[in-house]
Amino acid sequence: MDLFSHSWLPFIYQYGFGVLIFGGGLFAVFKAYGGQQFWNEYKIWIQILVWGFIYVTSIHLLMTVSALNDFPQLYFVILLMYVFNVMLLTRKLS
Amino acid sequence: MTTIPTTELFWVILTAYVFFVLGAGLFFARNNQSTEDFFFGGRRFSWWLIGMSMLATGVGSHSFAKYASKGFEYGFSSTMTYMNDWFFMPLLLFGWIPIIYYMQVNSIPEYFERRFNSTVRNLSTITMLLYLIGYIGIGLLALGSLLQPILGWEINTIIIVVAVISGVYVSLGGQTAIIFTDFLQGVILLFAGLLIFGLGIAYIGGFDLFWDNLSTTNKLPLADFNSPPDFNFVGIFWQDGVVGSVGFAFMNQAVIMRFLASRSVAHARRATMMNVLVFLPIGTVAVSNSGWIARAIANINPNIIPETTNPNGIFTVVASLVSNSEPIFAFLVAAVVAALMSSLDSQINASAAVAVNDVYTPLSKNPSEKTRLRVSMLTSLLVTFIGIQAAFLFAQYGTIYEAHGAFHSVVTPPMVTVIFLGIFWQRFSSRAAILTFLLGAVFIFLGIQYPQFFVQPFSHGIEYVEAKPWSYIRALYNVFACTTIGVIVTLLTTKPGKDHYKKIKGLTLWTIKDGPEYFKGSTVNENAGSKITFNGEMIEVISSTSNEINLPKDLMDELGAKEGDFAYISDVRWYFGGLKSTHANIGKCSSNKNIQISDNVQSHGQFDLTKKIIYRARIIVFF
Repeated sequence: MDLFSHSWLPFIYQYGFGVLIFGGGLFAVFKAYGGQQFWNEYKIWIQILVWGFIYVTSIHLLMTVSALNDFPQLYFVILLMYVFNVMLLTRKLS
Repeated sequence: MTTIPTTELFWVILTAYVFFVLGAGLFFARNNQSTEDFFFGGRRFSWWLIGMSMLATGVGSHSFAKYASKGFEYGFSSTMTYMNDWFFMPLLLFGWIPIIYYMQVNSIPEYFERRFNSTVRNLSTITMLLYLIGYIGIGLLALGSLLQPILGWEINTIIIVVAVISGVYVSLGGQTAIIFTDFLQGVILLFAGLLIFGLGIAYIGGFDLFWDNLSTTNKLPLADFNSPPDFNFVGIFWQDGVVGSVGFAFMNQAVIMRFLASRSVAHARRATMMNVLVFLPIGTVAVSNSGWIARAIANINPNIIPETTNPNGIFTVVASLVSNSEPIFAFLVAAVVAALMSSLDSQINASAAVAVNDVYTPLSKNPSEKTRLRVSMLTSLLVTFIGIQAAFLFAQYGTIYEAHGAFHSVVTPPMVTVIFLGIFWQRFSSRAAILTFLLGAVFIFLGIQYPQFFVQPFSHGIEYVEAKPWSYIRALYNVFACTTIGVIVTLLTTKPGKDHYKKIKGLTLWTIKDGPEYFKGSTVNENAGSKITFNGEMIEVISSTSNEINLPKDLMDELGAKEGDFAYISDVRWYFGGLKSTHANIGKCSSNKNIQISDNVQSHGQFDLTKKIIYRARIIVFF
């Protein structure tokens, strides 16, 4: 059974547009706040923003690989990433 | 009608829960001294409280009906809608949130007046009220449908009872009651969602059996690209992932009010991140997993859950099947009630905010703050009453979700387009905004009437169904039509003069740096962010109606503060979530070694200095 239209095609479509929207938004914000100044002031926030994108992409990636290869153990990786998120966002951010 | 049997214990648990919520309303009613308190809780709450409250607002009883049903029919792809909000985060966190917070925009229609003109405000007020009241109606009806098999009452009776309870506690308690009860309701619904998953896995006989009894397509996280017509990836991506996500985060007044109830922009940002990265992934499992459990059970033994089971009621079916005791079942039912109440209260409060801020205040001649507060409370009750009527109206239709979906797809795109172009394109004019609303509505209507001509080019190969033509992907067409109108009209109208750019200072992404200065009313202090912690015994309350605190010189120097700076003073105990805190202006140096606060600041910050327990407080210079 060909599952491409049910697995990788929607994944590519979603993250193709996702990169454009996310990247475009980040670029616009950088420009509006004045490049280097924005990085200096909000470094930690920008890192979390990029990490968040990697995190949601990884969830869909790992779930897809897990379903296609009948490998549920990959859900532990998602769980670990989730725990990392909790630790990251509950610590002191300045 | 078959009723699921219940005993007195079930009713005791459910009644206790209802009394708890009403009690919270009465308890927090004492905090409301102005509409600022009633609608925005005094703008003082911490990120963790706001984040959980945002989740509880987003997850309604309709979520348990809708996503569990899709989980039963299609598997893990029921989570699609909740997992694609991150794309808009840069624009939300560093564009929209600072704009509305610093510019003290109290409602979306108010933003439209300040960014454009009063005509745009009026158009958006009407659509916003329709949108919010529609939400109240659909939420009430969804809960009625879920509770009917358990309570055995008439659906209209359930709607009235739930609406009255919610209306009363929101009218009394306002935003503070909502935020605190939402926090608890959010915890309840997440815990209940995970509990039902655990019980379901145990019922099936372990995770391996659960996994093995789902097909590969059931386990894929995204739906098939363009089929079937009623649940395909590309349509849902545009309808929910793009239009829905933007609509919820940028346009939903209830969510906007959460941002504004935060104690600072940084806390609003962190609450949003926490909600999307931590709370929402559990939320999506909580609302969907009863459907996955039902799918696995149906695959193992179709006699237990037949394929013909109504998917909309699958949560109740699974809850009664896997919960092995009366208290657990009552708790699961209370969680669905909590989901509804936590969404309903926010929508009622948001509708009242729009009605008071954008209808009553502009029409009345300088109403006093006391009158506005009274009107706000009465409006909350009125909105609840109209919401009940909307629920009755929706109940007359067989396909309520489609009716609401169609309504949603008509209302959201013009508003979302105007907000987006308004924020990111300084040249986007008032005329273009008005025509985006009006001509946009015309083109959306044409798309409904002649889908094969207008919507077909955007269909991505999705099959045409006469009864519901391209019900999801039409969102792409609607956004395209509205954006095109907005861009073309702006380009065809004369470039605005310098006055225009002066008027919209702080209201667009490109003028965002002007926001903090506008908020403070003077130049921003370069030492913003510095803080001190001190013993509560140093506080001296002075009789004054001003909103000032006076610090001794050494503390002023330590903070790097100047007279006129804006500061945040709070009790250091984090678990209050900001309840005992307030913002104040820094006045002249105090004449002694004490920190002098006006009784106005004391009462607003709820600092009870008679109690020994208040020992330390903190001041942060904001600007």
